Amino acid sequence: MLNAVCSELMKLRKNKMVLVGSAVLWLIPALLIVKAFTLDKGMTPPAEWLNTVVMLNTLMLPCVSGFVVTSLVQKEYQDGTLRNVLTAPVSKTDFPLAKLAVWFFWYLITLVVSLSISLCGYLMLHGGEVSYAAGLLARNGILSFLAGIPVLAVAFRQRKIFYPAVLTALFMAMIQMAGSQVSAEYILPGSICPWTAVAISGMVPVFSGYFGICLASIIVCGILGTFLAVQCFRRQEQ
Amino acid sequence: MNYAIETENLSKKYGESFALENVSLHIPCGRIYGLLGRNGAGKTTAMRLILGLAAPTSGRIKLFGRELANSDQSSYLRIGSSIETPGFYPELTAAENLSVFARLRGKVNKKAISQVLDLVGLPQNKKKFAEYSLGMKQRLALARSMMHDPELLILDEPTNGLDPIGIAEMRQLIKTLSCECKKTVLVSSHQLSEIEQLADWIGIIHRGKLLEECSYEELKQKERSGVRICTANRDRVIRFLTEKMGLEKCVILGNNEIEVRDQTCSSLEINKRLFQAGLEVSQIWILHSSLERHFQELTGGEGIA
Repeated sequence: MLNAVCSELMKLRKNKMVLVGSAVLWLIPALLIVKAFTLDKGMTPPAEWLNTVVMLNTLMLPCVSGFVVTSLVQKEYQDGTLRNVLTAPVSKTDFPLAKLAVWFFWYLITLVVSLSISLCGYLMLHGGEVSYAAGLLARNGILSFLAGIPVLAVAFRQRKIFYPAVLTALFMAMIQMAGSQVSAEYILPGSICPWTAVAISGMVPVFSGYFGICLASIIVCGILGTFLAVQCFRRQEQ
Repeated sequence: MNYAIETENLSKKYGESFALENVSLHIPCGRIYGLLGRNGAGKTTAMRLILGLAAPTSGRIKLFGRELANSDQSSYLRIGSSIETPGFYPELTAAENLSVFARLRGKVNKKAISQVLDLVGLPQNKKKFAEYSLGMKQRLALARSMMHDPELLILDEPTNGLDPIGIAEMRQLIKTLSCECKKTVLVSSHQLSEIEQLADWIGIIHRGKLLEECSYEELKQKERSGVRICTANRDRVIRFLTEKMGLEKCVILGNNEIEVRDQTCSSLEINKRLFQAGLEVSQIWILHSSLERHFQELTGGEGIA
């Protein structure tokens, strides 16, 4: 498994989709900072500015992440490299897990840099305590990744075709956005649905029951997505 | 005899049709085994099953004397392979591609990568795989299969896409690997001439079935010569050959031709006796059996392509 992950990291450096995806996600908070200084003249309230960053992250992070993971998987089918990888040999369980690991590695790096840019911007604009904002953005990002793992299963299922996994990622991002608009009476079903749970987890107290339901739902979604991805790949013939 | 690969009644079914049916291969250690068959005969399917890229419908596979288990990957470390079209990462160079695959096995040995690229005649420059010709891609595939010094090489049509010089070089390389480095090589091809020049053992596969498996020496002993006669009096000539001369193996072909496969009588004698009998012959020539003829006879007249 470690060999497969190291091999994936070697390929990651030359993957243009990965580089472009990271650049896009880093540009968003940077442009928001520029906008705040130039157009808003620094008059945007802190909560509103932070909310904008969270909303854009909620939408863009899963979308770009979907493109990246689709690229990571689809290229192997398209380039015909899977036969060479599997005969290396790499087990049919290790390969999807290695893809998951590398996907998470990219996601984490991109999230940390994006977060750092956002927090620097927040400090420059408003100063003061950033730990709450940092915690919220980081938690939101990690939970969004976990809830998005089923896209990996779709990517393996679709083989060479590009759009099903991308559309799935977009759909999940839309549902995540919708989660931020959930009213009080729908908070329980919203907490059970893993994608709306990502947004709801940021709106409810950490030690509340709803937060626990959100967390459980997202973790189960992540585990199920991983299991489905591995099972889907194991059943394929190359 | 020790076998690097043994399959027992190996079958692969897709829907209702068999891509491979009860194939029992025996690839001896240290030899070059040529798997010969038309396009779609099942050669690549057999290799994919052996390499674990597909699961057999039934049958058993033994690698290096051990039966394959689902979780057993250790045998595959001793195998290098190249199946179908070469698959590499287009944005990486040859050395980078080999490094990625070497990393999958553990350590990247840059010296070994450099040596194997020299061996197959590939330049070690910044040219990306996407810019390679088919011949260069094929060479890189061979380099990848040899990189970790495996005991067994499984090569699916390795000369595909190579020019005549490249084909000769590839053939020489495979022979060197077998004779000097004592590697076992399973090579598939639909080109009879290649298998004839390369293989010590031959397996003929047709429509998913293994029709024959023997050493090339045994195959040559089965080689038959004969005489083909072209005449306007086909029926009279064949009656004369069978009744008067006692030749049993006479076959009527189209276009007023008769093939005499009986080797008890020389072409000179046949010609002389026909002339004396007043039977006119427009052409007479000697036949030598070849792998192509043998293949046609085995497959019921279907050619290699």
